[in-house]
Amino acid sequence: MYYFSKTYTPFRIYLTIALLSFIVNEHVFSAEKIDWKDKALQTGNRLAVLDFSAKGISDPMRDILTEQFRQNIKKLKIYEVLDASMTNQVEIFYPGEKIYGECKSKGCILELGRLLKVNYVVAGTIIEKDKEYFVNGKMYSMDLEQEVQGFSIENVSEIDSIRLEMKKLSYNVSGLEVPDTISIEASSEVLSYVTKVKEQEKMPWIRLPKISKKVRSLMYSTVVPGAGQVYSKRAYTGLGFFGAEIIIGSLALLAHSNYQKSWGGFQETYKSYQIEDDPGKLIQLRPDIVRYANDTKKHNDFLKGLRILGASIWSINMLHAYIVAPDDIFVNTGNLGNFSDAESKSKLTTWDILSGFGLRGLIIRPVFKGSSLSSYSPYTDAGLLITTPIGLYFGSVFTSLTYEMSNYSFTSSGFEDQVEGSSQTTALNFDLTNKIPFGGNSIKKYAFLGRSNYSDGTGYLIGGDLVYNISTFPLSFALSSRANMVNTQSLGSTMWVSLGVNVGIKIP
Amino acid sequence: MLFSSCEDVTYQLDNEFDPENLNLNPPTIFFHPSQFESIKVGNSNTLELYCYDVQNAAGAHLQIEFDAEIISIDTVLHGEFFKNGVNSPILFTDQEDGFLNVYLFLQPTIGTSDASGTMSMAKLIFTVQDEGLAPIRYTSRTTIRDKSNNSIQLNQYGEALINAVY
Repeated sequence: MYYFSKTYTPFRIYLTIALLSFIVNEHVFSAEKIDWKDKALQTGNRLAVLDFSAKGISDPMRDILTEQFRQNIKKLKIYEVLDASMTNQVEIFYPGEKIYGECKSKGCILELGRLLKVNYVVAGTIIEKDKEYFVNGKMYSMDLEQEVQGFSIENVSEIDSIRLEMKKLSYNVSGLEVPDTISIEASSEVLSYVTKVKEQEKMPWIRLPKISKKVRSLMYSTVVPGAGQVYSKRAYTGLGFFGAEIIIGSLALLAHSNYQKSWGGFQETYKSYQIEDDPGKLIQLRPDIVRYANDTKKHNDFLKGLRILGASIWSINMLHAYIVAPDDIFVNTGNLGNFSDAESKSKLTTWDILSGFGLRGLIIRPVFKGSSLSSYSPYTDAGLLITTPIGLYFGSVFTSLTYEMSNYSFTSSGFEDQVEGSSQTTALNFDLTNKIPFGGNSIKKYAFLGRSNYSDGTGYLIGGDLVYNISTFPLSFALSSRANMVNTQSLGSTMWVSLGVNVGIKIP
Repeated sequence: MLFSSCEDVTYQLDNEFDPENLNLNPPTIFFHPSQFESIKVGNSNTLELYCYDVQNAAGAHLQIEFDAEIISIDTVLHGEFFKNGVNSPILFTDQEDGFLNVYLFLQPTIGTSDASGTMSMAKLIFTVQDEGLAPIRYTSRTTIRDKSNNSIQLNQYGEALINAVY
């Protein structure tokens, strides 16, 4: 019914663990070099009981059982037990934990213990299955940085029984003998919980409804892109979203400025056209009107594209903020193999085939032009980049196949002449992340070399991308540079260098 | 700005004086305006002789046929077309029995020896003498020549109509 590993005092526990460690792993022993006598004298007795993870039982019940366990240990006065309010004031998202607020791995528990400045941490799980309760738990020593006790209760069928068993457990955790006369008090915690709920029901209009952290994160990111992520301690991702929106906003401002200029020109010339009665001037105004109208439409279309892109990223940012926000309840992700229902994947799925492919939207603008384009002004244009997992490793450099389509357009200062077209490039994408230490692995560095087909010619494309991948979402933001060396009928041999940004998704 | 929509341009190039809307096939010459709805007897007005997309013209002989009983042509002035940027064109005219001959010559300079485009070649100031409909048209003797004295092909000759009333 109930198993407990050992009922030793903390000092004896240390001794046992040390001996076991020596047998199992000599390295651990040699590395720690603990002076047991001194250590025992130095070790404090502050203990934190983390909220138990729960599966199959209600959150209030989980809270009550945890709190009762905590209070029982406190009453035994072996440990200085941290109150729930102090214990829960620290929340961390530890690498490897799937859900914010969940702290089940040893690393996370030890990190939390360090933050709480305690000597011991107790963490566990309460599971209800088929009306039977199971409790698994571990006690960690912060000084030893390892588990010093494990405990479990299995197949308890009544809630009162589990409360009794957990009370016994508190004796064991405290290293005390369980008295024969042990019993449980009336469910005062349950009563107080019910009373509290009733009190809240009495004055619902006074209190604002409690907003969950997820909703709060969503609200923040709805108002300011990335704010919810920052609130959820995902500052880099939040800044990524914010930065992306700033870039899009800046491009929108630029496009809007161009639009206003074209729109002003259009209105002026069209008004002149409508009131003019000189056929000679009318025939001169006509192409200007058409040109301004086309220019205005082009800028407006670009603005509309930016609007869609901006809104999409904003929406993704909101969704992402909701997903990564800390949950108010601990959710058991089922690390207990007994209850795992994962199916084995033996078949190759469509997802498997598509995995590694990516799609990026590109906004790019020439910043440097060759001599034959020197009298032309560039436009900001859009493009599309398809990345593939098809490639080879050359040393540590993964070289993959990439396809890029992008538009280019230039206009003379008086709008008399326009050069526009599109290019299609098949390129090799060199992942130089391991070669260039700047930015670490969080910023991927790519070099780009390809052969391009332009609307009326051919050429080569050389470039580079700095890609920031959002770790929790298959979304990436990138800064791009491209050097186009072209030989076309309309331009002859020339070149231009463009800078741009792109936003993409990658199938994980 | 991200969420507000910018206005898309809508326009109609439907100015009645736009040569593109006059069903003309350039290069050609036409009258501007092509119609006078009602001009009272005794009143004067101006009619312009226009060329439309004529290239490399150095001189012109414009012979115009009109109803001399309804209108009289008082003055002929040169337009902008044959100006070389500095000097006015050489202009002389004669009229007899409802025919007006206008001779225009561009004065060549070192930089300019001919003219191109859509512009007014000459302006006629006329007075209405009597009521009635008075068509005005270019005769087949009208010609425009380049600096080598070669005739420039004109696809059409426009017409004008003056409605004179009391």
